[in-house]
Amino acid sequence: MTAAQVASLSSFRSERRLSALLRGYDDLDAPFAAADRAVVRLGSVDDVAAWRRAMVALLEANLGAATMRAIFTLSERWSSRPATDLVTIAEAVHQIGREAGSSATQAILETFPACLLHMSQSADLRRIFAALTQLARQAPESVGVVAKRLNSLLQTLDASGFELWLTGGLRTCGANVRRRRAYFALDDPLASLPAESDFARLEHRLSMGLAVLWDRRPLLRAAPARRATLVGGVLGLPHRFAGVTEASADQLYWASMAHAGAHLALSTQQFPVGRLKPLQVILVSLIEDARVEHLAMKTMPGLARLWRPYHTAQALGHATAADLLARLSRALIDPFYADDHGWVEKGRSLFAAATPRLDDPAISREIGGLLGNDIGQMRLQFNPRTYAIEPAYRDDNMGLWDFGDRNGELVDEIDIGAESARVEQKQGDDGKPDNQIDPDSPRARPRQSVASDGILIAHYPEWDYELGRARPNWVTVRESEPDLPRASMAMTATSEADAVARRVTAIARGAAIGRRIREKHQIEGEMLDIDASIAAMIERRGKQPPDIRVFQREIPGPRELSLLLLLDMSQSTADKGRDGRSVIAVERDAATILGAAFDAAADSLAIHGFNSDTREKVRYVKFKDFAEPMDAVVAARLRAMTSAHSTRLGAAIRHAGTYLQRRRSFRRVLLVLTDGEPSDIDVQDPSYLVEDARQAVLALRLTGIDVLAFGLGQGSFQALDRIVSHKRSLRVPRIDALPERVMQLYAQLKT
Amino acid sequence: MAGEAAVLDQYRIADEPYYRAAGREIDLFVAAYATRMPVMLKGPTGCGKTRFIEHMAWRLGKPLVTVACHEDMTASDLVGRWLLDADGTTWRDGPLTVAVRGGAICYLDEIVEARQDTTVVIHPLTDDRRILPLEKRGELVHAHPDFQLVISYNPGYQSAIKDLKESTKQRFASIDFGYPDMAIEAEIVRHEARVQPDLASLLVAIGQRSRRLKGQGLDEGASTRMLINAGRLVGQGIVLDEACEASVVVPLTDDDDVRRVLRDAIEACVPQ
Repeated sequence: MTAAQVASLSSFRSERRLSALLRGYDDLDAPFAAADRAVVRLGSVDDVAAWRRAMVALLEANLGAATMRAIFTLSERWSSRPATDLVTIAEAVHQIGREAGSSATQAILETFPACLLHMSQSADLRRIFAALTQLARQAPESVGVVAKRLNSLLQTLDASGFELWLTGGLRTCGANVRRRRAYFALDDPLASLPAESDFARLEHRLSMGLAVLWDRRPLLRAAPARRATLVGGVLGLPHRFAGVTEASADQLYWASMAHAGAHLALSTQQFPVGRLKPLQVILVSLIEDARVEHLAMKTMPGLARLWRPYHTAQALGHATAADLLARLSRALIDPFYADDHGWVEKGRSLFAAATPRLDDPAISREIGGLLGNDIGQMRLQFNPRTYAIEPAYRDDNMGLWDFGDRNGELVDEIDIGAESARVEQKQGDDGKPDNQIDPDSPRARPRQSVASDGILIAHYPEWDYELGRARPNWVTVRESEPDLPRASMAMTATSEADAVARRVTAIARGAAIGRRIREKHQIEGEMLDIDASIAAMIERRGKQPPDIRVFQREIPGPRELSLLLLLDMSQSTADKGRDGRSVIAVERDAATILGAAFDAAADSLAIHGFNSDTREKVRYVKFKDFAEPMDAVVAARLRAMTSAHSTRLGAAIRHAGTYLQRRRSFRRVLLVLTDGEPSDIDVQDPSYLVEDARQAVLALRLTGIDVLAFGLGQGSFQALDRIVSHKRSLRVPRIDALPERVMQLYAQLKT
Repeated sequence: MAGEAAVLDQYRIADEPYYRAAGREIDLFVAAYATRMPVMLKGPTGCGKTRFIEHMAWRLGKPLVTVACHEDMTASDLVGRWLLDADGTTWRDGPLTVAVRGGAICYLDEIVEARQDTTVVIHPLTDDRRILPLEKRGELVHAHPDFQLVISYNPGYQSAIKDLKESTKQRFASIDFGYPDMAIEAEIVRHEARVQPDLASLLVAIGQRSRRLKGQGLDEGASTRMLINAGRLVGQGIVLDEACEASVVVPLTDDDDVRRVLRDAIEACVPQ
């Protein structure tokens, strides 16, 4: 038999099997027939056979009439794409159905047609379905959740991004079904889509660029707009510029930053809007753009090479108002551009005449006003709502204008960027932007880990200074899982703390690597110790027995370090300091900074926290273990850290000590971050817990563990002096003092 | 004593080292020297501290003994040690002792690099006593009337880890060196690199921009020395881009993002 005959025979067999299976359903015959005809029309004999086999498998899997109808409809309407894709889909649906049931397959088939747009290549489609199949295998409960969001996910992620996001979720959440659902429902901040926007990728570079080129350090924000926008000293940039490849995006963002920086440095006054029409406002802005760019190019002539290529307007054909604006922009920046349009020429000559007064922003108002009158008389169509500033690197110029009391109407008319962004956001599957969750929907509320008391881990004694002895098994420590972060808790790490972390990390890396310690006066070593050698020779000549320790050697420098950072999570840490930041926020920043520094220096750090509610319940939480890297998971746990209850420090120190005792480092250090004195509601005597903590510290010292404490905030921390001794308690009044303190400590610990 | 003078002669500076004053530092130093007050030169790397002290030594006609401090430096390396020869032991003065005996200016460069226990040997030299005890030799050296101690100190990002003891710091009069004004710096670059004034100004503009990244990607911006190096490379026929790359961008940082920013900034400054 030939291959074709085999195919047709197998096709014949599946046809018979199909009709037998279809008899089980009431009204699937007609949809099947239509789908079958479509596939026969579209694919080769082999494709048809494969498709029919897949249908047999699907029917045998008993996924229900709805699924079958959906797949028949999909097949019937399948056109302009290869039939093999249909087979891929059918096989994947079969697999998914077997693992996750028919509701999952229905959900996928419902949203899938809308998503096809995002899978232009067959390879993409295969990857996406392979990822979904894997999801069905490992987390069947989450398939439906993902299916509902498939369209919005694929709007931001490409196939490989989607794969990464899925596998990332499976890895992070492991067997924890609750967490998996939260992740795939995008409730878990860890699930925030990994696809880095161009802005996020370039943000650091752009903020350095503003400093380098313009000596300005404005806040940078990703703005939901098509163009840069500069309002109130904050530079908003789009997540990505539409239709731009990654390589050219770098250039475009840089150009946009350089232009916005020119406004920041050189657009020294705001123009009152007064009674100006939108077109006039746009013209004045256009002249102002040209003015600041000319000034910028005076000091930095290379900027011309950056900006000019974006001016691509041509003096061709019938010109609309938007065309003329673009041509004028080009005429003002590109001396080689020829344009014989009278209006453009007039603009050019007016601007050239004003060149001696380039420093004066008033020329923009003058020239823009004149040109605005002229273009008004040309009676050209102009719709400010659809107009986008060209070229793309220029900002929307909203920051140039003082809208006074006309704020509402005109902004509405001109604020094109934001308008379009609003439209884009509405394209989400349920009409809501992906990252905003309706506060009324049930999943908006965080799944607080049931404020459980945690698992009982240990009983510890407590020192009673009045009795002069320890009360055995007095305190109960319970460990509980870190909370899941609430969706509303955005990244709170300030950019200030970010910069601090970067600096500290650089120092830590420098402190750890490359430093060696020279040991003199050794019995063996690579080099002679010149002073010891001479001393030995002198002794020998003096007939004295010489000291034979005449060598020196270099040993690897700083020693390995294990540090356990113990965070106070008592209610008082919610209090805000003078700078409006709560102590717990400062603790969080400190933990993040230290974590980054320790990671860089390859030392081990654990981050634990505690609070207490009587001696029965000392809650102990492990945010980061020694072995864990300082990654997004740890950061998310830290973000979810909350303040509650009291500070029974002694028990927490004893418990933390058990973790440190297991470490085999040269140096083991317990560092307590706290905002005040130990206290608890079942203790009246203020000295009692202080003395107990002191005993706990002394006991740890005997086992070779150093205990240090940082007092955060403005307090005087006399209790800390008593607990860990004056030399080992450090005061950190403000977050900006923290890196210095941390590095001092680090340097002390390492040498 | 004749031998000592011969030793010190090699530390004399014959020709005038080029130095372009940016402020009143020359007058200040002359005044400090008049009372032999110890002086601390503070400032970022490559801003002209060493050149300044060479110039002052030449101007005052004193020998200049320079010691580059490092973390393995011991007190013996500074004050001297016993050595062996055929006849037995001989004492060999260290550079500091040479300067103290002979009346030179002793310049301890980057003093924070030295260990703190090493730096305390200078204490008795910096107050009214002006003595240097040589413990190992059992000698007390009284400083020559011309002797002066000068140290340099770069209060950089490392100051959290390495810093001078307060008791050391407070003994010195300080002259703060920053990067000079644009015009002066351009003149220095022009003179040192022997380049056209336009190029010198361009290099200084680039340098000044890189300094804005201090603390935001760089620990230090491009020093005047770096700009002079770039100018010299251009003088040898290297294209400006490559010269800046080799003498500014690559030495300053290994961070790709920061390098991109520096390159783009250089590109922005370069005319057609």
